[in-house]
Amino acid sequence: MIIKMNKKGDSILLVLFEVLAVVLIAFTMIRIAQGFASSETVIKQNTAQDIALMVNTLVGVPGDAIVEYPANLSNYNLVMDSTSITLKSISLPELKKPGVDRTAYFYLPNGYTAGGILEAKSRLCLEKKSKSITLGECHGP
Amino acid sequence: MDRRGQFDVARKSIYWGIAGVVMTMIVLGFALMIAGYQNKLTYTPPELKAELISLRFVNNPDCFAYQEPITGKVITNSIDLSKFNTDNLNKCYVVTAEKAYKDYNFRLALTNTQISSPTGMITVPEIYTVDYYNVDSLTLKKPVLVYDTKGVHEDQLQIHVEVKV
Repeated sequence: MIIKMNKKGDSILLVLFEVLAVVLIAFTMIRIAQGFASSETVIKQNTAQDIALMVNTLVGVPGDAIVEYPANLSNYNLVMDSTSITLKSISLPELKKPGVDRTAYFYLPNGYTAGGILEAKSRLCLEKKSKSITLGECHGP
Repeated sequence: MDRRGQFDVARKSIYWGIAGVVMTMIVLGFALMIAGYQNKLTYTPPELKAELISLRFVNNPDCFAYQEPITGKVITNSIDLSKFNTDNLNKCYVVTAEKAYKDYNFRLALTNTQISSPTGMITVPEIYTVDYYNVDSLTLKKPVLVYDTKGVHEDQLQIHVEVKV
Protein backbone atom coordinates (compact mmCIF):
# COMPACT_ATOMS: atom_id res chain seq x y z
CA MET A 1 0.00 0.00 0.00
CA ILE A 2 1.37 3.39 -0.94
CA ILE A 3 0.53 6.27 1.35
CA LYS A 4 0.50 9.49 -0.51
CA MET A 5 1.14 12.65 1.40
CA ASN A 6 -0.11 15.96 0.20
CA LYS A 7 2.00 19.10 0.07
CA LYS A 8 0.81 20.31 3.47
CA GLY A 9 1.90 17.03 5.09
CA ASP A 10 5.31 17.33 3.51
CA SER A 11 5.73 20.85 4.87
CA ILE A 12 4.78 19.87 8.41
CA LEU A 13 7.28 17.00 8.35
CA LEU A 14 10.02 19.28 7.08
CA VAL A 15 9.24 21.92 9.70
CA LEU A 16 9.39 19.25 12.43
CA PHE A 17 12.71 18.05 11.05
CA GLU A 18 14.06 21.60 10.99
CA VAL A 19 12.97 22.26 14.57
CA LEU A 20 14.55 18.99 15.71
CA ALA A 21 17.79 19.81 13.90
CA VAL A 22 17.97 23.28 15.40
CA VAL A 23 17.30 21.94 18.91
CA LEU A 24 19.96 19.26 18.44
CA ILE A 25 22.56 21.74 17.19
CA ALA A 26 21.78 24.20 19.99
CA PHE A 27 22.06 21.41 22.56
CA THR A 28 25.38 20.24 21.09
CA MET A 29 26.82 23.74 21.11
CA ILE A 30 25.77 24.36 24.69
CA ARG A 31 27.34 21.04 25.76
CA ILE A 32 30.58 21.88 23.96
CA ALA A 33 30.60 25.34 25.50
CA GLN A 34 29.98 23.93 28.98
CA GLY A 35 32.73 21.35 28.56
CA PHE A 36 35.33 23.80 27.33
CA ALA A 37 34.55 26.84 29.36
CA SER A 38 33.62 25.39 32.73
CA SER A 39 35.67 27.00 35.46
CA GLU A 40 36.42 23.49 36.72
CA THR A 41 38.63 22.80 33.72
CA VAL A 42 40.39 26.15 34.00
CA ILE A 43 40.95 25.78 37.75
CA LYS A 44 42.40 22.30 37.28
CA GLN A 45 44.73 23.42 34.50
CA ASN A 46 45.92 26.49 36.42
CA THR A 47 46.41 24.55 39.65
CA ALA A 48 48.42 21.83 37.92
CA GLN A 49 50.55 24.49 36.23
CA ASP A 50 51.02 26.37 39.53
CA ILE A 51 52.23 23.23 41.29
CA ALA A 52 54.63 22.40 38.44
CA LEU A 53 56.06 25.92 38.74
CA MET A 54 56.34 25.48 42.51
CA VAL A 55 58.36 22.30 41.95
CA ASN A 56 60.65 24.19 39.55
CA THR A 57 61.06 26.88 42.19
CA LEU A 58 61.85 24.37 44.94
CA VAL A 59 64.57 22.86 42.75
CA GLY A 60 66.07 26.34 42.60
CA VAL A 61 66.19 26.67 46.38
CA PRO A 62 69.42 25.65 48.11
CA GLY A 63 68.68 23.50 51.15
CA ASP A 64 65.35 22.20 52.41
CA ALA A 65 62.07 24.05 52.12
CA ILE A 66 58.34 23.64 52.55
CA VAL A 67 55.62 25.62 50.81
CA GLU A 68 51.84 25.58 51.07
CA TYR A 69 49.57 26.03 48.06
CA PRO A 70 47.28 28.96 48.87
CA ALA A 71 43.94 27.46 47.80
CA ASN A 72 41.44 24.88 48.96
CA LEU A 73 41.91 21.67 46.97
CA SER A 74 39.35 19.48 48.74
CA ASN A 75 37.49 18.85 45.46
CA TYR A 76 40.46 17.21 43.80
CA ASN A 77 42.76 14.25 43.95
CA LEU A 78 46.37 14.97 43.11
CA VAL A 79 49.00 12.56 41.92
CA MET A 80 52.62 13.61 41.51
CA ASP A 81 55.53 11.63 40.12
CA SER A 82 59.04 12.61 39.07
CA THR A 83 57.92 14.17 35.80
CA SER A 84 54.39 15.52 36.27
CA ILE A 85 51.50 16.50 38.49
CA THR A 86 47.95 15.38 37.65
CA LEU A 87 44.71 16.79 39.02
CA LYS A 88 41.58 14.70 39.03
CA SER A 89 38.14 15.78 40.18
CA ILE A 90 36.75 13.59 42.91
CA SER A 91 33.60 11.68 41.99
CA LEU A 92 30.71 13.24 43.83
CA PRO A 93 27.11 12.14 43.29
CA GLU A 94 26.13 15.70 42.37
CA LEU A 95 28.80 15.83 39.68
CA LYS A 96 27.56 13.83 36.73
CA LYS A 97 30.92 13.81 34.99
CA PRO A 98 34.24 14.07 36.84
CA GLY A 99 35.75 15.96 33.90
CA VAL A 100 39.08 15.65 32.19
CA ASP A 101 42.25 15.13 34.23
CA ARG A 102 44.77 17.93 33.87
CA THR A 103 48.51 17.33 33.90
CA ALA A 104 51.45 19.72 34.01
CA TYR A 105 55.06 18.71 33.52
CA PHE A 106 58.29 19.72 35.24
CA TYR A 107 61.90 18.70 34.86
CA LEU A 108 64.04 17.63 37.77
CA PRO A 109 67.84 17.42 37.84
CA ASN A 110 69.44 13.98 37.79
CA GLY A 111 69.16 12.24 41.14
CA TYR A 112 66.10 14.20 42.23
CA THR A 113 62.77 12.52 42.85
CA ALA A 114 59.25 13.81 43.32
CA GLY A 115 56.11 12.03 44.38
CA GLY A 116 53.00 11.99 46.48
CA ILE A 117 49.26 11.53 46.44
CA LEU A 118 46.70 13.82 48.01
CA GLU A 119 43.08 12.78 48.15
CA ALA A 120 40.46 15.45 48.77
CA LYS A 121 42.45 17.43 51.32
CA SER A 122 41.98 21.15 51.68
CA ARG A 123 45.63 22.06 52.32
CA LEU A 124 48.47 21.02 50.05
CA CYS A 125 52.13 21.30 50.95
CA LEU A 126 55.21 20.65 48.86
CA GLU A 127 58.28 19.75 50.86
CA LYS A 128 61.83 19.59 49.59
CA LYS A 129 64.21 17.48 51.65
CA SER A 130 67.64 17.04 50.16
CA LYS A 131 66.92 15.70 46.64
CA SER A 132 63.36 14.61 47.25
CA ILE A 133 60.21 16.66 46.71
CA THR A 134 57.08 15.35 48.36
CA LEU A 135 53.48 16.35 47.89
CA GLY A 136 51.31 15.90 50.96
CA GLU A 137 48.85 17.37 53.39
CA CYS A 138 49.99 20.36 55.44
CA HIS A 139 50.26 19.90 59.16
CA GLY A 140 50.24 22.58 61.82
CA PRO A 141 48.69 26.04 61.68
CA MET B 1 3.07 13.81 -4.32
CA ASP B 2 2.42 16.16 -7.21
CA ARG B 3 5.19 17.88 -9.20
CA ARG B 4 5.07 21.01 -7.06
CA GLY B 5 5.44 18.95 -3.88
CA GLN B 6 8.44 17.12 -5.34
CA PHE B 7 10.04 20.45 -6.24
CA ASP B 8 9.55 21.71 -2.67
CA VAL B 9 11.22 18.62 -1.20
CA ALA B 10 14.15 18.94 -3.63
CA ARG B 11 14.52 22.64 -2.79
CA LYS B 12 14.55 21.85 0.94
CA SER B 13 17.21 19.19 0.37
CA ILE B 14 19.47 21.76 -1.28
CA TYR B 15 18.76 24.18 1.55
CA TRP B 16 19.61 21.58 4.20
CA GLY B 17 22.71 20.52 2.30
CA ILE B 18 24.07 24.07 2.43
CA ALA B 19 22.75 24.72 5.94
CA GLY B 20 24.41 21.53 7.21
CA VAL B 21 27.82 22.69 6.01
CA VAL B 22 27.32 26.20 7.41
CA MET B 23 26.10 24.89 10.76
CA THR B 24 29.01 22.48 11.05
CA MET B 25 31.38 25.37 10.40
CA ILE B 26 29.61 27.49 13.02
CA VAL B 27 29.82 24.69 15.61
CA LEU B 28 33.51 24.11 14.87
CA GLY B 29 34.24 27.85 14.95
CA PHE B 30 32.40 28.16 18.24
CA ALA B 31 34.36 25.26 19.74
CA LEU B 32 37.66 26.75 18.54
CA MET B 33 36.71 30.15 19.93
CA ILE B 34 35.96 28.68 23.35
CA ALA B 35 39.18 26.63 23.28
CA GLY B 36 41.09 29.84 22.49
CA TYR B 37 39.39 31.62 25.37
CA GLN B 38 40.27 28.75 27.69
CA ASN B 39 43.90 28.94 26.54
CA LYS B 40 43.91 32.65 27.39
CA LEU B 41 42.63 31.88 30.89
CA THR B 42 45.30 29.24 31.49
CA TYR B 43 48.17 31.08 29.83
CA THR B 44 51.45 31.15 31.72
CA PRO B 45 53.92 33.80 30.53
CA PRO B 46 57.04 32.06 29.17
CA GLU B 47 59.21 34.62 30.99
CA LEU B 48 57.82 33.44 34.33
CA LYS B 49 58.32 29.77 33.60
CA ALA B 50 61.83 30.36 32.23
CA GLU B 51 62.74 32.50 35.24
CA LEU B 52 61.57 29.84 37.71
CA ILE B 53 63.32 27.01 35.87
CA SER B 54 66.55 28.99 35.59
CA LEU B 55 66.65 29.65 39.36
CA ARG B 56 68.34 26.25 39.68
CA PHE B 57 71.29 27.29 37.52
CA VAL B 58 72.53 29.87 40.02
CA ASN B 59 71.13 28.59 43.32
CA ASN B 60 71.40 24.83 43.27
CA PRO B 61 74.83 23.33 44.00
CA ASP B 62 73.85 20.29 41.90
CA CYS B 63 73.80 22.68 38.95
CA PHE B 64 76.33 25.52 38.92
CA ALA B 65 75.97 27.28 42.28
CA TYR B 66 79.11 27.51 44.35
CA GLN B 67 79.19 25.59 47.62
CA GLU B 68 81.83 26.41 50.20
CA PRO B 69 83.85 23.23 50.71
CA ILE B 70 84.35 23.61 54.46
CA THR B 71 80.99 24.91 55.70
CA GLY B 72 78.83 23.45 52.93
CA LYS B 73 77.12 26.83 52.60
CA VAL B 74 75.63 27.47 49.17
CA ILE B 75 76.22 30.93 47.73
CA THR B 76 73.06 32.04 45.94
CA ASN B 77 73.35 33.71 42.53
CA SER B 78 76.78 32.24 42.01
CA ILE B 79 78.53 30.14 39.39
CA ASP B 80 81.26 27.65 40.16
CA LEU B 81 83.28 27.76 36.97
CA SER B 82 84.46 24.16 37.41
CA LYS B 83 80.81 23.02 37.13
CA PHE B 84 79.92 25.24 34.18
CA ASN B 85 79.82 22.73 31.33
CA THR B 86 77.28 21.11 29.01
CA ASP B 87 77.29 17.78 30.84
CA ASN B 88 76.30 19.43 34.10
CA LEU B 89 73.66 21.53 32.36
CA ASN B 90 72.01 18.45 30.91
CA LYS B 91 72.11 16.72 34.29
CA CYS B 92 70.63 19.81 35.91
CA TYR B 93 67.80 20.26 33.42
CA VAL B 94 66.73 16.87 32.15
CA VAL B 95 64.15 16.70 29.39
CA THR B 96 63.17 13.47 27.71
CA ALA B 97 64.80 13.36 24.31
CA GLU B 98 61.68 12.55 22.28
CA LYS B 99 59.90 15.76 23.25
CA ALA B 100 62.85 17.98 24.11
CA TYR B 101 62.35 20.15 21.02
CA LYS B 102 58.86 21.04 22.26
CA ASP B 103 60.11 22.17 25.65
CA TYR B 104 62.15 24.98 27.01
CA ASN B 105 65.78 24.73 25.98
CA PHE B 106 68.56 26.97 27.22
CA ARG B 107 71.82 28.48 26.07
CA LEU B 108 73.94 29.89 28.90
CA ALA B 109 76.76 32.36 28.51
CA LEU B 110 79.00 34.23 30.92
CA THR B 111 79.80 37.60 29.37
CA ASN B 112 82.94 38.76 31.19
CA THR B 113 84.73 35.65 32.34
CA GLN B 114 87.80 34.46 30.50
CA ILE B 115 89.69 31.22 30.75
CA SER B 116 93.10 30.26 29.49
CA SER B 117 93.40 28.02 26.45
CA PRO B 118 96.28 26.88 24.21
CA THR B 119 95.55 29.91 21.98
CA GLY B 120 95.46 32.39 24.86
CA MET B 121 92.68 33.83 26.98
CA ILE B 122 89.17 33.13 25.64
CA THR B 123 85.64 33.78 26.79
CA VAL B 124 84.03 30.84 28.58
CA PRO B 125 82.32 28.70 25.91
CA GLU B 126 78.53 28.85 25.82
CA ILE B 127 76.70 25.75 26.97
CA TYR B 128 73.48 24.32 25.56
CA THR B 129 70.74 21.93 26.60
CA VAL B 130 69.74 18.92 24.51
CA ASP B 131 67.82 19.92 21.37
CA TYR B 132 68.70 23.59 21.48
CA TYR B 133 68.32 24.88 17.90
CA ASN B 134 69.38 28.53 18.23
CA VAL B 135 65.83 29.84 18.09
CA ASP B 136 65.90 32.21 21.03
CA SER B 137 62.55 33.42 22.27
CA LEU B 138 63.80 35.52 25.16
CA THR B 139 66.90 36.28 27.17
CA LEU B 140 67.21 36.53 30.93
CA LYS B 141 70.15 38.34 32.47
CA LYS B 142 71.31 37.56 35.97
CA PRO B 143 74.13 39.24 37.89
CA VAL B 144 76.24 36.46 39.38
CA LEU B 145 79.43 35.88 41.36
CA VAL B 146 81.80 33.62 39.47
CA TYR B 147 84.08 31.40 41.52
CA ASP B 148 87.17 30.05 39.77
CA THR B 149 90.66 28.98 40.78
CA LYS B 150 91.82 32.61 40.95
CA GLY B 151 89.06 33.75 43.27
CA VAL B 152 85.71 35.40 42.77
CA HIS B 153 84.49 38.16 40.48
CA GLU B 154 81.20 39.67 39.32
CA ASP B 155 79.73 38.75 35.96
CA GLN B 156 76.47 38.52 34.12
CA LEU B 157 74.90 35.20 33.20
CA GLN B 158 72.88 35.43 30.00
CA ILE B 159 70.22 32.76 29.76
CA HIS B 160 68.88 32.50 26.23
CA VAL B 161 65.59 30.63 26.25
CA GLU B 162 64.16 28.67 23.35
CA VAL B 163 60.49 28.27 24.22
CA LYS B 164 59.49 26.15 21.25
CA VAL B 165 61.01 25.37 17.88
